[in-house]
Amino acid sequence: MSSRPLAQAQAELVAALVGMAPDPAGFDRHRMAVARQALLHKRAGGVAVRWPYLVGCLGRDWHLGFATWATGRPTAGSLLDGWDFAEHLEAAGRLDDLARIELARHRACFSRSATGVMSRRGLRRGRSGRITVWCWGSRFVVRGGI
Amino acid sequence: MMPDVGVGIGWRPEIADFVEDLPGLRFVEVVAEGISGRLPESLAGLRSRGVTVIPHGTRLSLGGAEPVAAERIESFRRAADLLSAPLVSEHIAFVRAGGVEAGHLLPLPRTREAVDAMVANVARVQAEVDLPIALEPIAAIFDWPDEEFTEPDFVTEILDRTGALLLLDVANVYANARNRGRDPLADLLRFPLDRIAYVHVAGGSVGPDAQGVYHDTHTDPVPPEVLALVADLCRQVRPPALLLERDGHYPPADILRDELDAIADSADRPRVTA
Repeated sequence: MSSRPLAQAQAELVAALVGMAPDPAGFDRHRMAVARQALLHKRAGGVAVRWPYLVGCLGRDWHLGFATWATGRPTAGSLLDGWDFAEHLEAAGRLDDLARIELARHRACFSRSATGVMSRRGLRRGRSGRITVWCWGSRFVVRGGI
Repeated sequence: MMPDVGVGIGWRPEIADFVEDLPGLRFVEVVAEGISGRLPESLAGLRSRGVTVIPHGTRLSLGGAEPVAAERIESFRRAADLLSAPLVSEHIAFVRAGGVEAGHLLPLPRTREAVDAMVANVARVQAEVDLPIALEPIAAIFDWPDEEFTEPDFVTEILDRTGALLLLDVANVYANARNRGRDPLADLLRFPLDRIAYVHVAGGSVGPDAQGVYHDTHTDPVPPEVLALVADLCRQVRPPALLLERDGHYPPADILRDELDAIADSADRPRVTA
């Protein structure tokens, strides 16, 4: 281990912890597995704060469902993690109306780019399935669904 | 220099009202990355009451082989400025490598190369932030193989070469000792206690894995063993300040007040709740 440069050793460790690569040599396998689980649990908790209706949609399956999807996908922060997971579930037809409203509202109120997420200005619209959300400033209106 | 301000609590938006209502409170800590632009009204209010607010960095990744990004140092400096902070704090850890965010503080290999990386990054920070910096050794679920230093010696070496102070997290010392099968008090006493800027106290719990690994969650009550370590520490030295860190699953106000009182009593400092 000590013969590898620090940068490489750190990169290998992070890759292993986010599920993208095997554990580097010499690390306790059990402890690495515990650390991976702890990271996923923390990440799920962070997403839950930003995407409460997504959590509600999965109910008791939230932690396992998120962990399964998130393994091997490094975090992009809670907002984007939740957004990506919501779109994954949307494509699988697994979002309920409240989670669709939440996703549509994000699509209305924010724009995503390579550099991150920005608030959109003016009157904007976002959709998920039959639900449309109109957003301006901090206000939004829902059409369709429920 | 950290003023002698006794027991404090981590300011979080979710418990802002609770924090503001603590009559004897003289210090809080805030996550530095949460401060941008203007101060939240709650923090501005605390500042105008003369409460010391310390910006605590969590994402600078000072232990990373990669140089800490200039934008992160600038944000850190601005936070310290807005708060008129007497010092800043960060961790002996890294959070990203190879372009991938770990999403959590990770332990460094206790090697000379890692010391060098910390020293270089602390120097980069100190070039822009003209304040003392306190460094916090973290709780680690695993250790690297082939360590060259013990943890206290590693920390001492980093502090020696950077001139930084120690942010001693007693809960982290407990977690690490427990998970390594070591005596927490013996480990605590090997740290450079004379360099303590302030102390962290936090709760944790045992996870569901087969070994019963202890996790420093910051969302559980502070265990009696950690309070006992606080008492042991305060028999050796008098830290200027001790901070309760709670990051979620906030209990009712009276439970949180009881925790603050327990820390004050263990540290033989005045209670801030009355």
